[in-house]
Amino acid sequence: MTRYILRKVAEAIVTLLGLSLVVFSAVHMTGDPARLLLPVRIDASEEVYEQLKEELGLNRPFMVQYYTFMRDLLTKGDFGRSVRSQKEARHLLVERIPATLQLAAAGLFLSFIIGVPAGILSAVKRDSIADKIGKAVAIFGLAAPQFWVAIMVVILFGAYLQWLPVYGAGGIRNLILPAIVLALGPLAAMMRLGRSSMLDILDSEFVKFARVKGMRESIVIWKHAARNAVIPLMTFGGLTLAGLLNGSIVVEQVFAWPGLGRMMIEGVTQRDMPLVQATVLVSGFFYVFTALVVDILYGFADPRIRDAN
Amino acid sequence: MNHDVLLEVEDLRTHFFTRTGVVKAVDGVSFTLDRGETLGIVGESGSGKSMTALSLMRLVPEPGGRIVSGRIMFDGEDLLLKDSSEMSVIRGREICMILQDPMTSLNPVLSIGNQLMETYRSDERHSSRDLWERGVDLLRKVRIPAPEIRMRAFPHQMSGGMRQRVVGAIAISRMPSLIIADEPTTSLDATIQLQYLRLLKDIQKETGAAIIFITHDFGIVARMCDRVAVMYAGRIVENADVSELFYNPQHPYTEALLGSVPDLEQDVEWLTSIAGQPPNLDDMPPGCSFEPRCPYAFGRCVEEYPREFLVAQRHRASCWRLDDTG
Amino acid sequence: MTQVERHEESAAAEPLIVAENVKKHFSVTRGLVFRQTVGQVRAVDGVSFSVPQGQTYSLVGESGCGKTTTAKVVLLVESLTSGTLRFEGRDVSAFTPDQLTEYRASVQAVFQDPWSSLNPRLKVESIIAEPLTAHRRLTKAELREQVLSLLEEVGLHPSHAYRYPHEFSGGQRQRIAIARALALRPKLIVLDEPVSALDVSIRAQIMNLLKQLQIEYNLSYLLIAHQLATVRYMSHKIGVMYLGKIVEEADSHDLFDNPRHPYTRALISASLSSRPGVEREEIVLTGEVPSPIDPPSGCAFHPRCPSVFEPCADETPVIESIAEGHIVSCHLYQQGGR
Repeated sequence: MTRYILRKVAEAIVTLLGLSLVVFSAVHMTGDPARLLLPVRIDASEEVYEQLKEELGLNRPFMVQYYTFMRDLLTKGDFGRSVRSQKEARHLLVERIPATLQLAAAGLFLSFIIGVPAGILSAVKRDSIADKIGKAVAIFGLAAPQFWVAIMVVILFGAYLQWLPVYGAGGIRNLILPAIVLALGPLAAMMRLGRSSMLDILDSEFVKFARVKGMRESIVIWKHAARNAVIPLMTFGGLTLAGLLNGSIVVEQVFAWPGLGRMMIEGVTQRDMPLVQATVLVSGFFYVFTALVVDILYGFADPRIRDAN
Repeated sequence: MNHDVLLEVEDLRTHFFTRTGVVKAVDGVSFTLDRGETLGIVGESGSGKSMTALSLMRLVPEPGGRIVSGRIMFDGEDLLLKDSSEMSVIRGREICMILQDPMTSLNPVLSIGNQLMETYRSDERHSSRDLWERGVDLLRKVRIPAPEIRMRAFPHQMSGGMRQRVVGAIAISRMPSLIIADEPTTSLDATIQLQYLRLLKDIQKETGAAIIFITHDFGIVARMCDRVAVMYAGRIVENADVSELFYNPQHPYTEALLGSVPDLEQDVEWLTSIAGQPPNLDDMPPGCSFEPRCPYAFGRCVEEYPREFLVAQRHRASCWRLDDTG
Repeated sequence: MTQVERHEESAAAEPLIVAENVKKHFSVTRGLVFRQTVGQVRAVDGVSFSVPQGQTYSLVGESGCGKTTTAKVVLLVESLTSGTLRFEGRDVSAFTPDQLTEYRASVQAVFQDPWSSLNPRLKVESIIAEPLTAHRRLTKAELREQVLSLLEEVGLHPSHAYRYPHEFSGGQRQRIAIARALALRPKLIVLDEPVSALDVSIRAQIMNLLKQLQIEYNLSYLLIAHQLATVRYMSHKIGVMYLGKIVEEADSHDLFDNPRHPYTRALISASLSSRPGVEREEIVLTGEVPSPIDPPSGCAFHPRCPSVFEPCADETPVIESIAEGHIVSCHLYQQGGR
């Protein structure tokens, strides 16, 4: 198992290094940062321009720039400065990440805690009324556009019933509505996925054999079947979490949630490249990190995967 | 000889209700089985042999499948009158089954030990040390080397023959008086199959369990069984002691089936083959279901399903040719 | 015609296909970025045999013995690691592209699983016509005529041409697969477990059909099977494989009546007689077939062999001819052996 984990960690590090290089070069290809920085309408003299380039280190070869950037990032955690606010990007990130983490965790928790058992029960009670209701809910969850659901929720619970706050971050009460809206899609998908995966497992020989050897139905379903049915859901859960961590742009906009998603949009609209670079790298890190965690969990859940390497 | 009856099945009918009609998978099966006896139920796919086995366990696939009539007297009690919690006590403890594909009968994410020990855990409280030792004992009983190590292994780490033995160990863990083996060796190589069949014989000798072999392989029947029931289209068409059935078959289907099996001991120039295909179970003719393929069929066979005739002691067959009254 | 007569006739027949010391090894690699070969699976490890015209040569053995890989080599699905394959006396590896096309048309196959070997979206007519349209230039009318006559040859009705595979039973599908294999009038058909997925009462139908077609068209069969009774019924000559090697080869009745290699004996003894009360020598092998990555030293069978003695673990036995057409690779029969 240790070998397996080490291997996965090594793979993750290689992926992250590759990602940083891609992001760094992509940002550089969008244009000359020094020109972007200088106010457009003043014809800045060549002298000012050269001076700025020198200051930012932009006149050095690309690989040297990349190396400096990575060195600062890895030794000092330095992402550079926002060119607009002149604040250090890492401080901006530190301000935003907790809000995003909070929202993503709440969304994933909701979708897992409701979606998986509902999917499994749907499969166990196939074709019952409960299964049919579950199916209807899932179709709604998958089909309804997120922005529309978000607006409806704001109107209903915020404006009309006035039960819960709909603006900004704060306590648990602020979290409820955006988390529900965020969770709806993944929840519906997990229900459907959980149902079909459970149906496959219920058909398998080892479930039949568990019954044959006299196991109670609850043990057959929760110990023998559900454990196997959840394995394919883990991949989906991991991808979902990664998506949620990157900040749901729509939900953060509608609920004015101060997360990474909004920061990324601000960065792009203001052509604040260091900021974009920082958010994309952090998002990528989250993505790779969750994939790593899922891989490791996979190893714990399924002994065949552990041994395959 | 004094027969101590363990199982008596009477007019068992298991039907499947589908959109296109009623599939009569098992349609009036009756037989008896003595304690410690070995019965082979032989038939082709779709003959209802596996469904008969699942009906005995009360594990007919739902929704759709239902036991519509009959009695299954096991140890003096009718299993069809038991509720589901009573059945889960009988399953495993009184009757156990070895499934068609033992390779996939073990849960891939649970250790061998876990799957062995859980059978005892459901009976009463045991200390974990006690459970562990019982598990090791079982593995030793089915001749698995280094049982202590194997307890911690997972199914994919074992060869097919080993997994098979583990399934056997689980099946005998609580000394059931009846073991139903549904094509237990189809996926195994010949030399491994022989090892396993011998193991089953040894287990039977030791525990005194009765065994029902569900199979299409006359070789297994010839080798393992005391009695044979031949199934065709949901019914038992002939039932006899093994040598009686092989050397004095009375039903044309049995006769044809035996003639179509190649012989290991001698050169055969041409096998007799049975023409045609088995009937559709949702659209059965009113007469004998083998009539369309039967070389001896005559008028009565089309009209009426033949009743069972006693050919000799403990030898019954359902064929109108045996009727000497009319 | 009895088996003996057929055999005598065969002695004169020229071999259609000859395999000489054929080897197929697969590399086992480890590592994602820096791949290194950590072992060789010797799936087929020096196999020689020949299939005469109009006869059936069978390879038997347990799973993992290499019989299916050998069949794939003959079908050119797998390339050779070493050794030669001769077809009508010519080396297949030296074939021009045209000759290869010709070879592929002359060597056809019927596989075990009639459920997966037919494309479910094509009508039977198209399935059977497929090899014809690929290899021959025919008008539509000629094509249809050929398909209908092929259906008739394999015992199906002309109306079956316009149905889909799912409308047929297993035995009927296998007939369709045989019709497709026959379409180009091949010289050799590789039969890979052609009846083991079928019901007992259907197996005899298909085996009889194959035997009739063999006589009618002077077809050669390379049969891969594990059920010995089937093999005895179908074959003229049989090679017994264990861990990638042929350990014994003899004419069908000779092999069954007079098996020499301890593995052949065990295999025959383990195959259940189809009648009760047949007394036979009972040899129960211990253990299972070892991994072909790291086969045992000397004779690969020695760890399971009931007759093992001194030289077995150290020396690889050579192939010895012990009677007309009967060869065996075992220290018991080596010159100077026991």
